[in-house]
Amino acid sequence: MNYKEFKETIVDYLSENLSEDKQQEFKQFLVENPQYNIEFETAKLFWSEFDNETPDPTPEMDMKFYAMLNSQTKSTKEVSIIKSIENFLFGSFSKQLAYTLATLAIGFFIGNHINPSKSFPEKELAVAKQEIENVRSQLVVTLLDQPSANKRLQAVNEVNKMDNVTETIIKALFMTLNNDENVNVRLSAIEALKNYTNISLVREGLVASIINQESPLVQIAMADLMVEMQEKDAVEIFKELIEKENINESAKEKMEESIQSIAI
Amino acid sequence: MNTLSDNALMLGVKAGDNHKLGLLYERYKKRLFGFFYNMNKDAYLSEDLVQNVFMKILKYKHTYTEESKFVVWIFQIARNTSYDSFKKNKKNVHKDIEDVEYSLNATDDIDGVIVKNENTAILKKAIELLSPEKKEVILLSKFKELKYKEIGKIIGCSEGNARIKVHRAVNELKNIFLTLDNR
Repeated sequence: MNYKEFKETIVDYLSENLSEDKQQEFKQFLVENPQYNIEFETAKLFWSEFDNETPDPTPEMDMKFYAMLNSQTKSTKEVSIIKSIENFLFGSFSKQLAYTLATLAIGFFIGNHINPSKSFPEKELAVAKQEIENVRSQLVVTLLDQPSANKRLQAVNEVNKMDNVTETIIKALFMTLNNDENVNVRLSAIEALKNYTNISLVREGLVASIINQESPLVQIAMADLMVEMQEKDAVEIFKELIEKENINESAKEKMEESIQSIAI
Repeated sequence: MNTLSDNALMLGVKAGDNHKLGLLYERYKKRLFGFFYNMNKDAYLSEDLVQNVFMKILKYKHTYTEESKFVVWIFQIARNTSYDSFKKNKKNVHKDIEDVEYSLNATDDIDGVIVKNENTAILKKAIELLSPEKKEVILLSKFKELKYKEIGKIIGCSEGNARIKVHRAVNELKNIFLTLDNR
C-alpha cells in the first residue's frame, strides 16, 4: 500500500468496509509509516465525534410504542373471548399469588406478635403451603403459554421453586422442551426436568424428546443428561440423530462421547 | 440471545403476530433514535420519529418479502420518515460551504472555547453545518451492519456510488472544519 491508497481507504477502514486482507495491509502501512499516524488519528476523531453525544431515548418512548402496539393489535385482530378470559385469569394469577404471599406474611407477623409462645399449627401451615403450590402451579402453566420468552423463562424458574410438581406441569415442560422456539427456554426446561428424573414418566419423556432436538446446544445438554442418568435407551436414539444430515460437529462429538460413556 | 433473525421476526409480524414487532423494536430503537437525533438534534422529535417508523412497518408489512433484508428495509423507512419530518418542519439547517463565513460572523465565538476542547467544538459546529444528505450517509456508514452495498440500497444508488457519497461527505466535513479552524 502506498500513501495515495492509504489516504483513499481511511474512510473505508473506519466504516469497516475493507476486507480482512486490506485491513491488515492498512494497519501494516501505519506501522511502517508512523508519520501518517496523526492524519489517521485526526480522521478517527472526526469519525468518533460524529455521533458521540447521542443521548439515550427516554422510557416514555417505550411506553408510547407498546401502547401503540397494543392498540394496533386490538384494532386489527379480534380478541377471542377465550383469550380474554385467559388474559383476565393471568392477571388474577399474579395478583392471587401476591395476595396469598402477602396475607401469609401479615398473618404470620400478627400471629407471632399476639402470641409469640405458640407457633402455627403444622396442619394449617401445610394447607397454606399447598395453596401457594397450587397458585404457583397455575401460574407456571399460564406463563409457559406467553409469547414473551422472558415470561416463559420465568415460568421454568417458578418450577424450580416448587417442592412437588403435578403431571400437568411435567406435560407443560415437555411441551416447552419439544416446541418452544427459544433455545434458552428449552435449555431451562431440561434443567427443570433434571430434578425429576426419579419419575419414570420424566425419564421416558426426556429420551423421547432427544430426536426432536435440532439445536446443537440442546443436543449437547441432552447428551450430558443422558450420561448422568445412564439411560441406555438413549444410545440408539443418539446413533440415529448422529446419522442425520447437518448435525453440528461439536454436538456429534458430544453424542458419540455420551454413547461411549453410557455403554460402559 | 437473538435466537430469531430479524427477517424471521418481520415475517412473523407480516403473518399477523404483532408481538414480534416488540423484539424488533428492542433491537432497533437505539440505532433509529441515534440516526434521527443526529439528523435533527431534537430528542423529543426523534422519539416520535422512531414511533412513526414502527407504525409504518405495521402499515406496510405486506410489502416485506422473504428476500428483503430487514436492516435495509427499516432504514429505508427511517430515511423517508426523516425526510417527511424535515419537509414538514422546514428546519433546513443546511448551509453551503460559502455560507459558513457569514454564519460565523453572525453568531459564533470560537475564541471563547477552551483551548483543549477547541477542535471538538469546531468539529461539532462543522457537523451542524453539513448538509442533511451528507450527514445521512455518514451516519448510515457508522452502523456496523450497513456496508456500502446496503447503504446504496437504502439511498437508491450503486455500491460504488454509495462509497463515493460517503467519501465526499467526509471530505466536505473536513473542509468545513478547516474553514472554521482557519478563522
